[in-house]
Formats: sequence, structure tokens, C-alpha cells
Amino acid sequence: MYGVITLATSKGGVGKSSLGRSLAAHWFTVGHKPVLIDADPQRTLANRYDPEGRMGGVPVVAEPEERVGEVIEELRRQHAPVIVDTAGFRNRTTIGALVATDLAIIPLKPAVEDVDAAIATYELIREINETDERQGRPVKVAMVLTMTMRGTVIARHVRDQLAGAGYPLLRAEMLNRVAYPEAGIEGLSPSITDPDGAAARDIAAVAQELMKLANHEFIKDAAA
Amino acid sequence: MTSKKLGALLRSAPPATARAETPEPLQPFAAPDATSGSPQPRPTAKPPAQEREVPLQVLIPEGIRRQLGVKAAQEGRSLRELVLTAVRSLGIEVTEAQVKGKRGRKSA
Repeated sequence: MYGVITLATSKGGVGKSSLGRSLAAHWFTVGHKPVLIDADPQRTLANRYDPEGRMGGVPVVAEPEERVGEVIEELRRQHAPVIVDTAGFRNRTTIGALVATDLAIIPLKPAVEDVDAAIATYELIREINETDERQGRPVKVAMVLTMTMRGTVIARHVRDQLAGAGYPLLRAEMLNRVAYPEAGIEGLSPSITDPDGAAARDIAAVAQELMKLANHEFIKDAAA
Repeated sequence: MTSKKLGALLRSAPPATARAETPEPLQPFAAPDATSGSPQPRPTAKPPAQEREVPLQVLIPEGIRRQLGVKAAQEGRSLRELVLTAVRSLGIEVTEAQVKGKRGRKSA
């Protein structure tokens, strides 16, 4: 299990918050003790957090300021994984979170703007891995396709292009399903509201691939 | 101590909170309609006009800031809630709705 996972890309609307909450919900349901840090000043996760609700056991800590790295270090003593959702633009808080993270997940929709943003974020992580703070322990990176529609040419094209260029794209992906926004209205995730449904299975597949990569395989280092 | 490279990276990016926005949250779904079987939006009264919110950034001792973060995490509350609660204790009028913010209006 990764200690700290940060979802980052320099574009908004790609599903970072949904994916972060979904992974937290999945790991919560299988017995882990995740915590979410909402480092996005839009407070997408924090605004929906209900301490009395079905995901009340997954605390959401709003920390959009640059001291997010300290909050991560505090929370990782009691929680695993610490999942950090960041704002959809390059900013100091995101950089601070990435410096403190074990795995960076870069979500992207199958669209050229998202691909550009994903590659820019990948390059940012490469720069972070060149700092003294990350020498010898590079941030791992995995890209995840989100909001895809099964069998579309554009999704296949984006996958082929990224994989062909050597970017670390997960095989599992988050299909575009109405279950996410429906569950999100109450700050929940399909793993909680419909654990046997297709969306929950998608999330489980992403989580399992991440775990498999963490335990047994190589997630490409964003090294120079 | 931040390294020179990381310092340069940080200086190249803006602070996250310079673009803070808090969109109006949607209302939760009501229970599924027995006749149609599909969830219907719950009718809600129009919320009262909200006073515009602005950022507050102050320098405080690091240890106090750390304790605030831990307290917020332990209680599942936001820093905003903690700060506004403290502000109210100074005698400044702060309503419960203002303390709760948008989180407090998300469910009936």
C-alpha cells in the first residue's frame, strides 16, 4: 500500500476528485484507513464531506495552503493511504503535495487538452524528482484514463499514443458512468452506494492495478 | 530547508488559493419515485443570498498552525470552522450557517 497518493494534473474537470474519493471509498470498504486531503481551493471534496454519513470514516481535511506537506506527514502516521486531491492548475500547493507523495496519479480524459496537461504534469514530476528532496526516491507516476466511452476511436488513439511514447498509463480506466455524479451529490462513491455495480468494479480494477504495480511490478519512475 | 531547485520550482508557480472559488453545491437526490422508479430532485426553498466570501491569510507560529491542523483532522472539521468558532468567541457575530459554510447546507 502506498503511504501517500496525490492526484494531479494541470487541467480541471478530468475527474481528479471523483477518482480520489472513489479510491478512498474502495480502500475503506476493504479495511484500509484512508484519509483525503482536499488541497483544491474549490473544496470539491470538503464541501461534500459528511462526518455522520456512510463515508464519515474517511476524514476529509481541507488544506489548500502551501503547508500541505506538513499535513501529509502528520496524517500518514495514522492513515494509509493519504490521498491528496489538488487544484486543476499548476500551483505551489500541488508541488508541495507532490514532493511529499509516494505515487502521483495523473487522470486524463481522452482529449488532446487533457493529454497536453497530463504530459505537462508528468514533466513537472520529473523536475521534482531532480530536486534534492526526492533524490534517490523518485515519485512514482501512473496515468489513468477517465470518463471514457467503451470502444471509441479517440480513447484507443490516446491510449496508443501515450503507451507508445512510454508514458505509464494504467490498463484499467474509469468509464463515463452516471453513478459517479449521482453518488457524489452526497459525497459518496459507487463503492459505497452500489458496491456490486459496474462503476465499483471499475474502481476496484484501478485500485488493484495500482496495488499490483506497488507490490510486484514497476511503475515507471518519472526520472530524468 | 528547501533546496535551490525546489525553491525555483515553487517560485515558478502561483499559490493555489489565489483562485479560490466555492461553487454552490447541488441538493441531494430524494428517494426514488415509486411510480417512475427514477430519482427525482428534492424540491428546495431558494437559499438566502450569501455574503461574498474572501480569503484570510495570516502568519502565526508554526506549532499553533500544526495543532490547528491536527485538531481539524481529529474532529473532521475544516480550518475555516475552527477559526470562525474562535472568532465568535471574541464577541464577533458569526452565525452557525456561516461557521458551517456550504457544508452545513448540503442536506436537509
